[in-house]
Amino acid sequence: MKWTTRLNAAVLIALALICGCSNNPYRSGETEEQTYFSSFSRAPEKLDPARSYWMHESAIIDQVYEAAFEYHFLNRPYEIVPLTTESIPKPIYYDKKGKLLKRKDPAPEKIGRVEYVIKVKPGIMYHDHPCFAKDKQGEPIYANVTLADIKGYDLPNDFECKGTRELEARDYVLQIKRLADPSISCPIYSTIKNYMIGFEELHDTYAKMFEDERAKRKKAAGASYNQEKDEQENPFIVDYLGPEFEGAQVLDKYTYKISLNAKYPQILYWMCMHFFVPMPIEALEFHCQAAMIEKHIVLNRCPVGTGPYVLTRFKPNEVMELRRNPNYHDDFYPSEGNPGDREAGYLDDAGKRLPMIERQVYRMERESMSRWRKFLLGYYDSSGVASDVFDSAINMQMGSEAMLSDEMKDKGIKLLTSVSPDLTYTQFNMLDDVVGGYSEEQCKLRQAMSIAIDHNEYLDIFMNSRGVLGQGPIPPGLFGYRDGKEGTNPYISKWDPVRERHVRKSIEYAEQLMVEAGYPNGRKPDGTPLTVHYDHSSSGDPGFRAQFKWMHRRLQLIGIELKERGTDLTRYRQKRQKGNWQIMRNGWVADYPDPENFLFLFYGPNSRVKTGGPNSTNYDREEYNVLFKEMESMQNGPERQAAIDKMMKIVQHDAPSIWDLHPVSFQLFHSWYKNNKPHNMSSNLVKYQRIDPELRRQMQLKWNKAILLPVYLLIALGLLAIVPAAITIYRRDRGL
Amino acid sequence: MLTYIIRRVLYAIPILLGVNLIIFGLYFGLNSPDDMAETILGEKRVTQEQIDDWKRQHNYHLPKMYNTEERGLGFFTQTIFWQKSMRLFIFDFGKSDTAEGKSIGDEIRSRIPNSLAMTIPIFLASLFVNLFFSMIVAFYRGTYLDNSMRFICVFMMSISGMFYIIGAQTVAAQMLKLVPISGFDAGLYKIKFLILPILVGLLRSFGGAVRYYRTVFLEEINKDYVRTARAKGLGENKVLFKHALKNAMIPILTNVVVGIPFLIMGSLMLERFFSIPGLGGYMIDAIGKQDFAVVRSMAFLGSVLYVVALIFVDISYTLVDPRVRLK
Repeated sequence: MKWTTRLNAAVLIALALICGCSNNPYRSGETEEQTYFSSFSRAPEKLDPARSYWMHESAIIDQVYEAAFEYHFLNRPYEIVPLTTESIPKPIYYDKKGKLLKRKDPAPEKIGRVEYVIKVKPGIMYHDHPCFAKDKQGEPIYANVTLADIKGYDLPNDFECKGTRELEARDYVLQIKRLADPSISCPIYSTIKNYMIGFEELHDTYAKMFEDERAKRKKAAGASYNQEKDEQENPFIVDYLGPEFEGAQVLDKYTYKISLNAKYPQILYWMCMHFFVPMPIEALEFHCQAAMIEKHIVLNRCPVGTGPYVLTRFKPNEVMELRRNPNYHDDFYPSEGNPGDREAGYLDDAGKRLPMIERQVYRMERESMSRWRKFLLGYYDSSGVASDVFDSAINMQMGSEAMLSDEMKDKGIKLLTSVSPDLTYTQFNMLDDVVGGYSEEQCKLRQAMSIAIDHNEYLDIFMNSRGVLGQGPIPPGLFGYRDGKEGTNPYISKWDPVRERHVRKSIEYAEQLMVEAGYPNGRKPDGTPLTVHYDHSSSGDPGFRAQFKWMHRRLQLIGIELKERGTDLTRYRQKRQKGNWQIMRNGWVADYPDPENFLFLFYGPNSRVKTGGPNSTNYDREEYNVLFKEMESMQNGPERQAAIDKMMKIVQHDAPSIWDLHPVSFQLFHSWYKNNKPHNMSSNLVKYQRIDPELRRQMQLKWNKAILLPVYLLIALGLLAIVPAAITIYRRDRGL
Repeated sequence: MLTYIIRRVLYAIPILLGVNLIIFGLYFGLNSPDDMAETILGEKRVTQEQIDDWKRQHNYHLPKMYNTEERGLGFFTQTIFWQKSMRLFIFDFGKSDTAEGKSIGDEIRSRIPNSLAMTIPIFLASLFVNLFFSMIVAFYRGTYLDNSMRFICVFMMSISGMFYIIGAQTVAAQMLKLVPISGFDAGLYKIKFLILPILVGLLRSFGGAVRYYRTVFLEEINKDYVRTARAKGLGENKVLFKHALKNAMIPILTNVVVGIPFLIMGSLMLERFFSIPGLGGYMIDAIGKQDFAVVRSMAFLGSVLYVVALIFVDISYTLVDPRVRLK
């Protein structure tokens, strides 16, 4: 080939590359479908609904599996509605002798057993999956497969033969039994075992079976025994159908029964979560085969459900794709909601069949900046607001609501904010001699510290004011929370009617409390300064350093010297277990919208030191404990509110924690993305949402026209630099 | 040469054992199996009993280095070190400690092509560009071009790698809208995602490499044989590319071949910012997730590749310099 031909070819290729330049990360035509584009920053690892307790995994699991119930998409306060069942079951109460109690709401102490009978809707089908594929004789096609049989397959979707079957009550019962399997380490085992009859015994039966089998295998293998490798290659096959289990029983093809040992209405909330979804035995048999394990075609990455979507692509470090389940049962967009929903357009799609979005694509984005830029260019349909871009996206003026910046408004972006049902709290160890204890002086010391550590200032400095100052453990939006002036914690806060928010009492008042606590000017009776220790495991975190300095400065205002005691995670855990600490920081994210889920953090028998429970402060006040037991099983109503009010008064006075804040979540949505009412309890919301692909395509084209002039200039500049150099070399080479 | 290679391979065994021991010691000096279990299972509602179950399933219930409860071989074999780290010597990386439980070997195999898709073009392009420019500046030594280029090189070396990445994403992807900001895709679709990281990789290496190669070439072109070649009337092209380049190969090869393991191990920062699912991010993710199985495997793999690369460097010396003999 002549050099001129080569040059021409190179120029043509370069021109083709330059002319084809685009920053569109999707393939041609991909954005023209009803597809939702989003990103993820953390790869999901456990898609097994019995194992996962992470929100980023729930976002996938809850769209493939379906629990018996779900939360209403529009109604607030949150309301449970049937999903795969005929109705929401009513509890049936029996006394301790097994006699049916006819009262609708009997006293907890009279109850010996509670039953919920749940009727599954007939005709609900699983999505197409090879585990259901059968031959002409009705035998599973993919039983006893070898590696050669499944060569080239990565996900169930790749298999040639697929089948389906109807959802049955036995599938729910099977999954509940899995929650007791010790090899699964179900995160809610410790809670469920307290209520479900026979649950702990079932767990112990499985555990003993494993121990016996392990001992046998170890004896056979001798010194070369490697338990982990052995169990990876020959996993224990648990006979879930075998042992009798009273806690969950199948009554007929479409009916099953849950039996509890006490009144526990929160079980219905748990049953909205993916722990209680149906699990077909065929899926377990399919995925437990040695060849499947070897190829990693396992339940942890291959969900099998009846939900609106099917996981069709799963590369957890690159991309995940869900497609509409063609077998999805009748499910329709709600026709009613809260006042204002119709005006906000949330009822425009009332009565439409769900899901409306055909496909969802989630791409891995490790860096928040890349994610944010793609959102601005229209390549992601929604986004959160990271701290580093907050100022460019949101105008937050003192005393006014958060507003979008002009750039965001010009792009038609919508901002929706909602208070998350979470609590961030600074804990005092109630077992500690200085910051703990229940005497009036000790309570006043904690109240004074609560006033000094003013979280309104914290919100302004560290969180772009994205939070609500805490007045107690219950976050806004949950039953029991009191808003406005009547919700003020009278010991540490006051209501500011001008700015309509809670503010901390003055430092002078805190100093007065210090005097009453026996620490005038922060000095102990012997005249030495009062020193308290902040225990943490965040030494390497630069964000922590700034926060600690702030806290140190705030406590200095009342004369207290705050010192940090940083340790590694192991020591930190040990300190917490043994109660050998003074002040720590913690957080709690709601599992379900019930005040019990927050008030139990201060219930004495849940003490971390005594029972390893979630009460890390080890707070144990008799009156509170009695009220908690009463409140726990009450129906929402004036009686329950009164009990909660009393409990709040007690914890506000005793101040076992500083109720720091409840975070406010900021979500941004492009104009083509519809029906995105904030919902903090559910992860299966995409089925209600809709995309206007034509509008998206137009906006993407408008915002992403390639600018080639600088490239041409750069090429010209390069040529200008290279040509004289080449000429000089040529001349020197030829001795000219 | 065969004897030499065998001897070097045998030397590698204690080195790799030492690396394994250091990784094991460092890891368990900072973490305990309880921490690992809590990180993987999550802290919320998890009981000590479940943490113990997890440790049992993953062999972390065993003593670390020796097991006094076992007799005979079991004294050494029924320990975390033996069961976890010694398997690496037969390249059995095992499975990830996280609940996903994926085979580490499979994961490495699936990620290597992604890393190589980015690092090989960077490697080749930067080798070509950097050698070319360094020869030019060596050729024009002492002129305004040499001085300007030295200034540019020092300037480029002084800029943080992060600046190149963020700057390139801002200018090329966000402002000029020429290439995607980040991402990855299968087959030929991945090309558009690789343009920017390759360009950034090239720019990042330019300053340091040009300065290094310039020094190497300057040393060569001041030697007598170059003067003789010129005196015989050879053109500059031949002097530079045939004579000087060939004789400057030893330091160049050392620099180039030792860099080969890093091609396979990927580029941590580029992979992270451009969302490329290569090996660079695998180890960092594993450290964050307290996945000791992946951490030890990646550290072992890195050590093996480095040892192999050094052997190759030695062998390559014999190819470019007939005076070198391996005994």
